[in-house]
Amino acid sequence: MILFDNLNLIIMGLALGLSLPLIGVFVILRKQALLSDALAHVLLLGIALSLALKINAAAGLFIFALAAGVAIFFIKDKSRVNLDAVVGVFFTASLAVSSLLIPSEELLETFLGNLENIGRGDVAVSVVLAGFIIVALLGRFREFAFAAFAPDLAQVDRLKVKKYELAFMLILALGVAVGIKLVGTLLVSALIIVPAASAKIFSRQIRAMAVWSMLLGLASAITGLIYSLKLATPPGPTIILAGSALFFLVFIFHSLFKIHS
Amino acid sequence: MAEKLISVSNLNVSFDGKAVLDDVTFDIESGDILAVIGPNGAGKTLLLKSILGLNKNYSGEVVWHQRPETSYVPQKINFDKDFPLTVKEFFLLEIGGRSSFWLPTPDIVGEIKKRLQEVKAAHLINERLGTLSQGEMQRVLIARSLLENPKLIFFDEPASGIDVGTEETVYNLLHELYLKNNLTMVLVSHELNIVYRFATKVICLNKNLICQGLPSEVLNPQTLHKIFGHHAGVYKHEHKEQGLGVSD
Repeated sequence: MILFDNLNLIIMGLALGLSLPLIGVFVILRKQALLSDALAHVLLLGIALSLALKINAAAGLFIFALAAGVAIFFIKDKSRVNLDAVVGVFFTASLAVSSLLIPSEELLETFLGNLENIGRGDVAVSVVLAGFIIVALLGRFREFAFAAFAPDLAQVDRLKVKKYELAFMLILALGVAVGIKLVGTLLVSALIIVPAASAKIFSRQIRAMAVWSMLLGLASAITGLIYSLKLATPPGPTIILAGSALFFLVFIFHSLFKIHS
Repeated sequence: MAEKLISVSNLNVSFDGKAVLDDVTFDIESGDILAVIGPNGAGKTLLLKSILGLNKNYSGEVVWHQRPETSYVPQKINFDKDFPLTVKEFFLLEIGGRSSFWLPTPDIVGEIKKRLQEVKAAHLINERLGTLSQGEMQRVLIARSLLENPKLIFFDEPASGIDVGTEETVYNLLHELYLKNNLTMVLVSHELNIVYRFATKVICLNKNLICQGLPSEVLNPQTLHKIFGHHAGVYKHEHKEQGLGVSD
């Protein structure tokens, strides 16, 4: 029965556990590991504004995520400041405004995720977005990887590099937004980065890293959900903890046996 | 009369008000091996990037009269050396369709091997890109540029970091391909003897265009002094033909 009672949570956990680490592969390839973390805090402003304007929080968050993705892309493109600095400015400003706008109890919920009133709508949005992320990134894997790894060579090869940069920024923003519901703004970047970082330890090929990231993300979600239901702990932090435990296991195992994939 | 491929007219590039390229005008014609020479900081790489559309921050005009299949060998690419990407995957980013990135056909793998073989780097196919030495990376970049039979290739110091024997092989290979495939090449190089032997045209750059023409005509002590300053001199090359070089 415990499974059935928590079906929404389980479906959401598995969908995000499988899809978000795939974004992490490209975040690591682009050396932007801090970006997803900072972006999560930028999106806090989306939640704050939705509350202040009394509009649907999820809709407000996704619209804000897309707008933030576009804004960061263009500021980076037009200015000579590096991306970390741009997002850093957005991040601190939005954190400051949000802490003024969001009441303190709700602020804690947005930090760590709020799963008490997960509805079918939330699950549907998560599944559709997870599917979209997987299809987009795997379907155009070569293009996203080429644009990220060697943009000059890709452009000479007539790949529309800017288009893929913008598309990736939007996918990242959507991924962060959808992950916030499950694990909150503080931990969402871990859901994106940690499985991909674990896979990077032992992968020799980017293709292997992509597949292993998804499998490790799924394994973190399953382990985290099982322990969360067993021990009645909050699922978000438990999933992240499972992911971190896997990272250390992989690290130790690899250090001892040096197995590559 | 060779066809014009690209015309560069009055090209100016400046950063923070400081001119890096100043009023540069020349044409690239099909069949050229155009060597771009000049000291460090003369704007050679920037010139290539401006022609290729990788730098858009310029005034003046770059007109492509035709769009032949083009490839580019940069001096280096910046990437996280720990990132898992093999030489084979690096090639697969460019050739083949979407599905062949995941499951490359034997034909595609054969093509990759053949190109690597030509620069004596076939053994590197399954190595991680981050583990290659500078010279190995340079050979991989050259092999990669030859995929899909380009008609126009831009080389930014193709032999930097390569040992002398391999350098000779690389230039001989490029020359062979040039003759066989009717190529056009633009070559940034410090190696004046290479320029002297292989180039059909030279442009000398030191922010502005100091000379252009046939290597045998323009590479004289006066021009070299103008480009490279007092370190430049002329020496007799060990090969049969007379060569010119920068001697310190």
